[in-house]
Amino acid sequence: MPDKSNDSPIEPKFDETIHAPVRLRICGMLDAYDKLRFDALRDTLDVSDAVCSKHLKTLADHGYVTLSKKAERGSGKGYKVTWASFTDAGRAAFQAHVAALKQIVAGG
Amino acid sequence: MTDETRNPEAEPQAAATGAGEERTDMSITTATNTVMPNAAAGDSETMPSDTASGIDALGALDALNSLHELNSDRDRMAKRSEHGMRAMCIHLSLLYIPGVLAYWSIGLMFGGRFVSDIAYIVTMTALVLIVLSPLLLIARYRKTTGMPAFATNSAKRAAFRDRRFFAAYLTSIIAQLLLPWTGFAWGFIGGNWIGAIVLAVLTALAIYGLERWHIREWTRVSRLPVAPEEDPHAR
Repeated sequence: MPDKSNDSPIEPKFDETIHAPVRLRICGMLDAYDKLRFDALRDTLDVSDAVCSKHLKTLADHGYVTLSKKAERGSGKGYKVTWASFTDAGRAAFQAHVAALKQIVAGG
Repeated sequence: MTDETRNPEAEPQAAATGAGEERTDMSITTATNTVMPNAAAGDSETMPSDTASGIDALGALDALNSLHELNSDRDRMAKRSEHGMRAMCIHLSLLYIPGVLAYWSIGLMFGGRFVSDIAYIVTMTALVLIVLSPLLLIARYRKTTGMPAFATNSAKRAAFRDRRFFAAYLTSIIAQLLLPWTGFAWGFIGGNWIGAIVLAVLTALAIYGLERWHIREWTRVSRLPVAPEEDPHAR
């Protein structure tokens, strides 16, 4: 099993921003796929547009996620699709947070 | 976003999200106590040990639930990715039929079987279109799944450490690069068109099989849990 924790020791650090369930799940998906379209995130989370958008904005405000709007063919005239990608700070914070969760589960 | 795309269960979900944030507040305290025990040393001294251990257990359960959610999402995303990759795999394999035939034509030319400017231009144009057409498949994959076709993140790099995935990936790439050259070799020795078609179909089938193996391995690796799930009460 590929274990990223073997790359370098990750300092466990609990992150209040990331720990909110929807935001944690968004971060988990972005950690695995780097960059995801808004509807892919929304459908997987099974939440409304507004909820997904709100949490993405919170993550973006903290510098964890970058949001970019791109026009895509077939998506309608003048309609732009939002893509979310992880920043380095976001990835580091998420990995530290997951390490903290593991520590909590382990009773550390 | 349009109203059509709005989830009808938005309100209960929004409420659930709010509840999640409340849950965050509770677990932050607990988590802080656990991860940074010095910060909460004073509180734990005044708290009965049974209560403190109960809160710790709740914190552990909350953390376990969070990890469980991450694992479930990985599973869902892996299925979504697999679905898109399978669709791409069929079209990619079919592209190798005209691809091998184009290589066969070039083989015939290099073997001196026919030399014509028009045939040369037509064959080369077809070959260029065939080589570029996977770009359309990649764009289609992105459009269908909402994911990039080539992830360059640490998770993808970590997947290469898995021997089975690496073997499947390498075999598939090598086959895609080398197998079309059998068409060239067949043309170079003056092989007929029936043989070229058989060769093209066999190549497409081989690449389809190898790609399916590659996709299966990628799905397996991308479904691996973020953390093994353990029951904190098991201890």
